[in-house]
Amino acid sequence: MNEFSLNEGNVGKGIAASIISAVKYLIFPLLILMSATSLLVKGGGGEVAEQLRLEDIKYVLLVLGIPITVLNFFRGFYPKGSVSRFTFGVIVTVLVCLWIWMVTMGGNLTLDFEQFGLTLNFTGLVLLFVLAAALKGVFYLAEMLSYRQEWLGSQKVAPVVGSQIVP
Amino acid sequence: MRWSLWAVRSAIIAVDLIIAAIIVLSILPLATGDLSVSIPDNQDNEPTMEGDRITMSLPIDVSNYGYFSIDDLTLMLRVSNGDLVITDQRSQPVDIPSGGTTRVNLALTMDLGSISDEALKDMVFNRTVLMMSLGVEAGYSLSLVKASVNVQESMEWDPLISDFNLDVYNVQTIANGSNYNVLVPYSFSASELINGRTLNIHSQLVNSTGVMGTTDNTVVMEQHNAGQITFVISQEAAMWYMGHPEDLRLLVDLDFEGATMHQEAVIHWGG
Repeated sequence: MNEFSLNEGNVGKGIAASIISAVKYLIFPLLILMSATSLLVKGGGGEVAEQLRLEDIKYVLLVLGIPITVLNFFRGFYPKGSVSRFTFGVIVTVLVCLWIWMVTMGGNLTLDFEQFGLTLNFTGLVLLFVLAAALKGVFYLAEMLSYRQEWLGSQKVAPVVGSQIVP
Repeated sequence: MRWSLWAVRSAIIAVDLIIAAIIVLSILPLATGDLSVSIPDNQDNEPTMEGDRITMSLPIDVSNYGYFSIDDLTLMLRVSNGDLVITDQRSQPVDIPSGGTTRVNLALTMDLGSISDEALKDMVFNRTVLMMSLGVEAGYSLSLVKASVNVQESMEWDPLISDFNLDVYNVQTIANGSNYNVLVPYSFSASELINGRTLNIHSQLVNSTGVMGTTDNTVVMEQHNAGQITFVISQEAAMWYMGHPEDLRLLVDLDFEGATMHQEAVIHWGG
């Protein structure tokens, strides 16, 4: 019994999970980021965009968003109760936590101009977001434990019609 | 029913709802104008001087009709003159409860005694440009968000003692018994901030061979001050100069609270 066998999964569910995470962690954030950058640059806030390191955030979105999307395919692909689904779920959770931390720059925002400076520290709030994301990892564990017997049952070889047990 | 799954899913939803509620309740008052800061009218915000301390009192009204209190509101002031830091201090943190307007009296003091001699000299005697950095720091949303805003502005500083003038063209020599008094008129202006305080004037009259006389004056300052520096010289010396004109050097040291300024003038005497 190989829990990571590619014959065990459902491609449709994998693609669905992948699309949802691509929208959530890649496409939608990128669209917001590019719109914000464009608005700032057009409005003369090029320096603000630079100080907010929007280009770096774009890079983080790609570097972490693509693996999250790919790995989420496997999480959705493997059935509930399998160790493979749980494993990919946990890896995705860790990456999502990292994604939140990096995209929010650890909850530290600093704008420094010639005559004006602003420092915003919302690390506490970011940690709450990370906590909510980390709970998803616990959810995958609970899911595996809840569906484990069901999944193990589905792995038993079905009897062949007409066969008989030879003592 | 898979209870463990249900429990974890509920916990996730609860945390998400808490985060959403904190964000909405934090941003809403900013959008609706329920958080505002104003400086009350008819307030005397002029700095006052007591002893060596200049105190600036800034009353502000903070209206907080939001859902969270504002924690540890602190005002910071840093005044520097080039690389010299004149003062760098923070007011006592104040909590602003939600649901009303709170008058906060933020007081900042500047102790002249703690300012370096060089910086003090600039402030007392010279017109200079000070760099003022005013900052406000506070926590909001159960202190999950902390913000710090600072504004930097250059500030023209008028000297506390200015326009010191030695009137060397109206020097008088008056007989005083067996000696002569040499009277050198002086004048200067003083800031209202230091009216009633004393300035020490230490003067020396020097000729080509040495010190002819010294004198110390203590002036209780008003806005406009005028007086005379008096040197007592012997009759022989006075008579000598009648026949032998010479340029005498007048060396004056002004001393206010340890800040000193040196001035020199030439008096053409005799002939």
